[in-house]
Amino acid sequence: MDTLMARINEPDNDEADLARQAIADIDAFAELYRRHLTRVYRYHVAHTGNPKDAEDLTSQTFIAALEGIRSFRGAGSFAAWLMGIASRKRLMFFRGKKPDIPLEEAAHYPSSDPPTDKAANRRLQLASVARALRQISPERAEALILTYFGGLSHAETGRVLNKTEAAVKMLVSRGLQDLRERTSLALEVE
Amino acid sequence: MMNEQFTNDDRDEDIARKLKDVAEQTQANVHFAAALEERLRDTRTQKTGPFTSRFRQISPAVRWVALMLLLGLVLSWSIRNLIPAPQPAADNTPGLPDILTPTPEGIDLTPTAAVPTENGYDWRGATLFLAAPLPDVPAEANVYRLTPDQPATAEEARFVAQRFGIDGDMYRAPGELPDTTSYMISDGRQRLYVRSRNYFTYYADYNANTLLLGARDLSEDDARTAIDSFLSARGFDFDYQIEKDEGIPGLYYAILLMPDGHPIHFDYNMPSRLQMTLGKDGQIISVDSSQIDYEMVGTYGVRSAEEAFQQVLGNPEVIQNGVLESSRSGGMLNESYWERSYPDDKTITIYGRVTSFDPVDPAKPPFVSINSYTATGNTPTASGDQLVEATGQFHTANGMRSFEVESWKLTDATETAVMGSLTREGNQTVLISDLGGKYVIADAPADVPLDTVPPDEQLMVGGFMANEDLVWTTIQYFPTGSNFGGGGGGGTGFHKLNLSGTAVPFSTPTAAPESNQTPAESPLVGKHLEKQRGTLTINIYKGEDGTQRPEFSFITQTQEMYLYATLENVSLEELLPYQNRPLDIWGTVETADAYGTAVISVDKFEAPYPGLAFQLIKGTQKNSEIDGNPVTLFTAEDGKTYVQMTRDNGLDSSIAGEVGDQVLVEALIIPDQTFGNYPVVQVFAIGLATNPMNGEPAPMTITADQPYVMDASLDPTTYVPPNSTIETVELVYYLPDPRYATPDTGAEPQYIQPAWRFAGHNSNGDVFEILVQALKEEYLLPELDTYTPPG
Repeated sequence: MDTLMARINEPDNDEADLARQAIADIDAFAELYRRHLTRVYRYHVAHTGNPKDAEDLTSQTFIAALEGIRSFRGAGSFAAWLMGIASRKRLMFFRGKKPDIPLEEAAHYPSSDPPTDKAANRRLQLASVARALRQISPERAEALILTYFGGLSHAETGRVLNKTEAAVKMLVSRGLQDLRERTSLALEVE
Repeated sequence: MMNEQFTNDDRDEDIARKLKDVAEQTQANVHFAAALEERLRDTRTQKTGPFTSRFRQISPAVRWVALMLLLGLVLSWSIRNLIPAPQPAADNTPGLPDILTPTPEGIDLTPTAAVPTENGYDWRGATLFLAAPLPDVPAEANVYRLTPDQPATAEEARFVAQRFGIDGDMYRAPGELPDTTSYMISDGRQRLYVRSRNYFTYYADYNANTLLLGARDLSEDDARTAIDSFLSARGFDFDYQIEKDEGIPGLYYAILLMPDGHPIHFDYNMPSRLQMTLGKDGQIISVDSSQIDYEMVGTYGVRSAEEAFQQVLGNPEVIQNGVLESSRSGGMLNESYWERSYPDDKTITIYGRVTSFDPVDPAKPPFVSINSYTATGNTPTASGDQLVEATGQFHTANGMRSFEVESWKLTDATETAVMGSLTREGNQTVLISDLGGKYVIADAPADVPLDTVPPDEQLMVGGFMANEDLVWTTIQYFPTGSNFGGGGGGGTGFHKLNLSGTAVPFSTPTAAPESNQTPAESPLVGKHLEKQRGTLTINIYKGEDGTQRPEFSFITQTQEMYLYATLENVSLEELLPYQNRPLDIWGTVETADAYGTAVISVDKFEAPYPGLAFQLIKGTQKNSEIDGNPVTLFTAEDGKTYVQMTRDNGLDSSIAGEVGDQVLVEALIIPDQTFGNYPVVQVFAIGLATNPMNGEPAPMTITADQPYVMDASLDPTTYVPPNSTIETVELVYYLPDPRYATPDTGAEPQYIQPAWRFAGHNSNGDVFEILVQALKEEYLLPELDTYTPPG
């Protein structure tokens, strides 16, 4: 059996073919799932700030992708198509202005990791970034999250946001500037 | 593929690097990843038994329903949270607002009179029952200012350790907050992490409790006695009340009480607390402290519980301010867990992640762990986050257990979680994964459930995949009815406080934003279909009262379009003979529903193959390729070979079991349908012809010709939110959980303020909590405070 996490970051040059196979072949879809799980999860956790909501949204994103795999025409990258779904799922989710679930409440899946120290530090760093991203304009935050957490190129981010690559670069640049000037994130990198 | 850089300032590059670093540290939980993959496969496949390794393509309509159910839940959530509450009058009079939701007839809304009735209150499309009295008091409450937490010094950490009787060496651990240091103290058995005097985590026997599994059957009295005794013996003399967590076995809270006796609550239904897990022997196995320090600000008037309840009842004309809501479902009460145990004094090999802590005293060696086990011996190059294959022995001396490493090496093994069913083969326990893999589970616990039947039951084995072997570490079992859980919240947050002594007028209520839930558009609306061939699927939604609603789905694909639609102007009786079979229709796409699904008004239909029936066919499979497409060729016992397709005519390249295994398929063979010169077999269900567990023939029956009957609760068009019952109404002191607040020198002071807490259960078992800001309006600003989530 393939292990789950090993192949997440494989290159995507065959993904249009894989997506076509996935219409009829769940194994092909599973391959796409493994490749893109991390980017989708990271995207959602950056927005929500907590793993449980991120897991719910990640599930919804991939279920919707499975349902709609036929609509992927291969005009852009599969990653951009998938992150577009993730973005829509996230928008629906936040209509209710959900506050977050504390990270420690998300422990439905047992972990053999040491329960504190590094894991806690990672949680805190993530929480801090997620909080800072909520303090800048949503459009700039979305560009930053798609770029840095979703791992999309500026061109791919532009496809998701329906903007030009240059506009995305500007959003990212301004977003970074906002984070530096308007949030406490700068204190953490000095 | 990672992003290009586009920054104008070095400082921005630092921020960018920070984002990238945090992103790269973020990984989905491996168990979640496995469960979701399984769920996705289940969405496409239907299981007929534990020995069936790969199954038929499920109805797209069923998949659609699953999606719609999810959407329905999300929408319900959103709609609920957009429903607002009345605002106080503009003249600052803290009386009841003019606009109120109509209340049930016969219920008197004078204070304390809103008692529960059989009918309850119409509330968010369901019924709200009030099953607790609304308190008459207090009329006043205090406001406190949070004292910012200070990182512990080594001396303070040592003091906390002494409280727990830990006489061990001290080590530096990465702080929970950036650029801070926490301390870890261990005597080899007990372990303590100290961030500050208020925030620390204690483990009574770190090596023995990887998963911190709590007791399931403790009596309340026993738990209370154990907690009181534990805290008293360690000098914790604050006032507290004990509550049991509803979702996690053996987890209890000692909730801090303020001087006036009211408890402190953070966000998401979590109190300020000492959180304790009681083990199977009834003793405390872990303590997680999140206490606070504070100073008094003053005493202020609060609204009555009745006024707060009216705000809970809400009014759809205004946005709900001063309210925080949360709900939680699921929990771990039904699940069972097993951890792998290892013998003492016997050379074994384990896989795990190395953690190393530097000593405070430089003369001491670093403290090394492999997973949760204290590692000693040959650990010369220990550094954090390495995955190793370690050979050595466990030893126990003076109640302390450690793993003495003889040698270790970095490993290519990967952490994994495999879902499947355990069975016995001779004296071995074997995991047969849902994907057809077979793994020996060495030293399996004697009481793990065998021959579980997915998907009602789920069993997951976690561990490491090393050289095709599954080296297990944990087993989880989710019996029928288990709930993987979830949660959410709503409300718009609390107002900022105005403690200046001068009231600030509030504006008139703000209209709620329009819902985004408008029917989706479909570019196909108006399109006329002339003898359009597709596949019919019938779902029947069955209500508890026996009512049934048939839904007719039609899937068709041409070079121009792929269309999923529902059919109107047809009846169950006339279409039933064609379930899951080709159908030609004439009609017009009249509209699209809220989710964009086209709705076809049917003028006429014909069955292109009258009498076409499903068959059970035995045969073998092999992989092949036709015109560059991977396919599965199915050869029946009569020697005829087919190309396998899914029920909606997609190529199906999956294999059940291993290539060459004899399989049984529930299939439809449509005359004249070919692919690459092969006839086509549409596979609706597939399983091994022989049960691998007992060698017996595996039965299969034809079911694809029957409608899919589903509980009406799955019907997205008739989703009804659950009723809710308020079981507790109390005044609490609220502040956002300060545990994860990052240092911000310019931050405004955080206040601890009174709030009315309404807590209870929904009829689906979810726990909910609604916090209503209790200070009178004269002590509030119209501006909402920035809500800082605890995550």
